[in-house]
Amino acid sequence: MGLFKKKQHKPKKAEPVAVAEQVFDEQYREELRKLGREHFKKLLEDNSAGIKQDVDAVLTQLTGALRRHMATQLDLAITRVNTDISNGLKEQMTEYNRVSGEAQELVIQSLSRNAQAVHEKYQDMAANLQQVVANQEVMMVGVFQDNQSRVAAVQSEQEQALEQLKHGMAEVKQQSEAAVQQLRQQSDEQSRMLGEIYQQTSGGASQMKQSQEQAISSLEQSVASLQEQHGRLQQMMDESIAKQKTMATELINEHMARIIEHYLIGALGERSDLAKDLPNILEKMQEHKQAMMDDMSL
Amino acid sequence: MSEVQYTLPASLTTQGDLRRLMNEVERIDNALVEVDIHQRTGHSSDEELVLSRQLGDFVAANEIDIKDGSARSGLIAGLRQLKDSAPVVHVTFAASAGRDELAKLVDWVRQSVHPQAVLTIGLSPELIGGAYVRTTNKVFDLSVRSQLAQGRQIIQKELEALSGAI
Repeated sequence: MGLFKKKQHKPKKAEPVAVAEQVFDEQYREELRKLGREHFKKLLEDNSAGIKQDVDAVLTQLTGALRRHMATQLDLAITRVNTDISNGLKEQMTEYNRVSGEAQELVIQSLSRNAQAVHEKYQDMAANLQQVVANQEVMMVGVFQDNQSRVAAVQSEQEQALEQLKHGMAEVKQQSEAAVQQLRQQSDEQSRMLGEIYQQTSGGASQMKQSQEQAISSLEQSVASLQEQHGRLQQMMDESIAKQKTMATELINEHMARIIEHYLIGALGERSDLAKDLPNILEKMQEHKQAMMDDMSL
Repeated sequence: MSEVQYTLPASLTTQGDLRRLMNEVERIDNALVEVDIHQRTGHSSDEELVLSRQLGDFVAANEIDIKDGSARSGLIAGLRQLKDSAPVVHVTFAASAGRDELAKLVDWVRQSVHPQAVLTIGLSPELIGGAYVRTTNKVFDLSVRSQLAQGRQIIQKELEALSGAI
């Protein structure tokens, strides 16, 4: 860049010429040229003003048309994105509902199978217990009847012995008295033994009954605990399914949000205009003004 | 030497502008010294001094007579000091910044933050819009990209509401 430029010199006055016609011609021509220049200048100014107006009008129209076109394209893009996102979400939710329904059905089936197995087992055990109780009752009845028949047999033998003694009383009275005495002692002893046997068998039957009652109560407790475990398992399954559903939904929503953000960035990225953004930028810088001042003054 | 507080016009935006201004003043100083020597030896010159727009704005804002030798010396020393000590604000935009926008921005920075601050301009289209401002020890992310990242939760909530409605 040049630091200096030529000075503007004052124009020299026209020298008078001896012949009047030549000066007049020169002056006249000069005046004509001057008029011509001014006229030309005026023409240029008028035309340039007109051209400038036309150019401004064309530019305004172009700007408006471009803006409308851009707005239309952006609306179309946003509509397409919305449609794609809605369809994708619907498909994902349908698939998720189907999968979660299938999982729930499987769980319910397995739980019902387990409950049925427990119930069958319970029924089998109850039937077995009843059979055992019935068998023991039969056995006890048989034992009691045997004891009773034995007692009856012993009594009949005693009566026969007494009849024999009565028939031979005359012959051997002393022996019969001793024998009677002896027989009485034997019968007392046998009665005592039979009583002891009877007490033992009745005690054993009561013990058997107690043990059966204990077995039944323990079975009932195990059934109650199984039912309780079944309820807890079902509750845990429900909670776990709900938790997994929530996690899957949150994950899907997060990914969808990222996809939408990506599309928005793509759509907005082509429309950046600093002249229009500058007031917003200055407004945001105004919010951080104090922090900037403190940092710059350090 | 005590620091001279010059008023920086809006046309002086970056550190590069300051360096060019200083170089121009030094060249003018050399040229005027030559003219003075020529005049003393009887060789006058009919050329006028032409200043750049930035230098013209600067001397007008600070009321400096550029033809005065002592004023020029002080100006050169002051500009050297200013070039080294002026605080710098780094600003990155998503699109190219025009002269008018830079003038408005540097005007705001000098009125609000520091009267002698200069800018360094960067370009990063991935910001989408807004600006990324860095001062000496801090950064301020004022870009549209960061706003979208912060607004991701809003989109997520809307999607949750939409999935609940489906």
